[in-house]
Amino acid sequence: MLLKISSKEVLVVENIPKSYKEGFMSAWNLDRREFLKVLTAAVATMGFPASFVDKVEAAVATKKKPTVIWLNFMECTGCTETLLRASHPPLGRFLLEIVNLEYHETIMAGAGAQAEEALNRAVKNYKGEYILVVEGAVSTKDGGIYCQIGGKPAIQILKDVSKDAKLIIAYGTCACFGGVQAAYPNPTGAVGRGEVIGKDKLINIPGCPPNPYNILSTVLYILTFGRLPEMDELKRPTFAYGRRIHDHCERRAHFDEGRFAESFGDERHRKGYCLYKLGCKGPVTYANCSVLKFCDVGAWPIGAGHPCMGCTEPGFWDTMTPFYEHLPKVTIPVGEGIITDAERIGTMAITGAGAVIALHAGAGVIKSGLKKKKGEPQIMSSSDEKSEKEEG
Amino acid sequence: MGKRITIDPITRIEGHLRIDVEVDGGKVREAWASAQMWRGIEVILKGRDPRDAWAFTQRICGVCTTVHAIASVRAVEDALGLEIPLNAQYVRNIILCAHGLHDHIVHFYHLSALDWVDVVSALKADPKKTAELAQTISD
Repeated sequence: MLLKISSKEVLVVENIPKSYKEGFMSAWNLDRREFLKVLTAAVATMGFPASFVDKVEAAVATKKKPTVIWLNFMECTGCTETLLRASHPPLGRFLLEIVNLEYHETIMAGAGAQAEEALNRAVKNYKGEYILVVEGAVSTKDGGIYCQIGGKPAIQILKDVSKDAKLIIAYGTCACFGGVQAAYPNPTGAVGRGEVIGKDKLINIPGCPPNPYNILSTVLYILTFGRLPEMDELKRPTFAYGRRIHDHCERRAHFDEGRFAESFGDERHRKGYCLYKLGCKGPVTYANCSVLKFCDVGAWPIGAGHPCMGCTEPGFWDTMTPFYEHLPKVTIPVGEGIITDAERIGTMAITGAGAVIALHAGAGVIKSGLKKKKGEPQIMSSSDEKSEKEEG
Repeated sequence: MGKRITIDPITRIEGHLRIDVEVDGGKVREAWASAQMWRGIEVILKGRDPRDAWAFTQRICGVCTTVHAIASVRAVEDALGLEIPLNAQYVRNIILCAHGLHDHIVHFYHLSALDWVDVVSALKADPKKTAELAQTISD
């Protein structure tokens, strides 16, 4: 009965008898220990001491649940997936329970006309109150026909639903900056949310995918303090995106001492040395992955031996590729007395990010890189040669 | 010419899908499925470093990400005629198996379950009787 087309069959959560709802919730509810565990992680992410946990808990308990409308456009749903990860049910459940989720195509029961009706109803009923979470870019080319929902171009839906939103959270690099579909030559004219309707009311939580704790912490911050968190010029909360991966990297000591993995699987790689020469973009990437890690099990790319791809930065599909070539213009420490070098690279990476991007951008660089590699049987060797040259 | 029913969007999937069904005398005569999104990943991949291809390809779907990545890696290896060490093949198989387990759970409980379960009726169900019934049919 859930999928019938008739508008009378729309599943409305409010219609569920209260007793059922309570029974259903209590059977599944988080126990207090798990609840506090998630809260503590979120508070730590915001950069507050543990004493703030009580404040946040009180806000969650007493304040009205914020209404959320979640729209999916040109994306892979990986961002939603981060919330639903079965390995840590508390986070997904927690996030879904502190907000009143009115519309989310990936997990809602209804489809077709029902879905459209649910969206229209939510926009009307919660006018000016709802938080709009956007996942994915929108197409601007050819009237936006490259992504349509219910026969309407995504860009039009975005404009319509943004209009009456209290706040807009762009979740994931696609929604923030255009993402993978906006990579050269951007065949669909894909852009991030900010380029469509300006940066008012906007918070960017980039990442491919982003860490779910960053959206959770952002929502809790707003709920607790009634204001937006401090943000950088790219509209990213600084508590999550204020420091570089490199600043708190567990392999940083190896970088400072000039110990680098030269190729995947070599002895230095097996020993856990710095991945800079394998293409790590940690020195120019602002994110808290090195502290927060993923999936509640302390896993993250660099921990697993893979270089950072720089996925929280705008246009990383063009500016950070080739992924397995190291960043240009970064002084690598060698031998002793390297501490000054390490500090210099810190400031250089900040001011030099623009230069790096300019150097890497455009297909010309990519193509010439490819041409050079032609005929090389060992595809992994090119970065080694380059770095040796630079060292010498 | 029967009645035409259009369902757009199809929810609980990755991507944007539209289904058109033509019903005549209570029977489906014709049906059309049309993808409502095109991102041009194939076009974007042209001219890039082949080592990067898996990362772009993987972004086709964030629900079944691993299989796209592995398929892309295999295509590149095939094109370059690379031989894959046995241990690497083991590792990949383990990754694929782990992904299969994960994906089945996500797909059933988060995505397709609502097509098979009537949530409103499920709330009226008696968990004890349900458990007893389950016991009688399991070993």
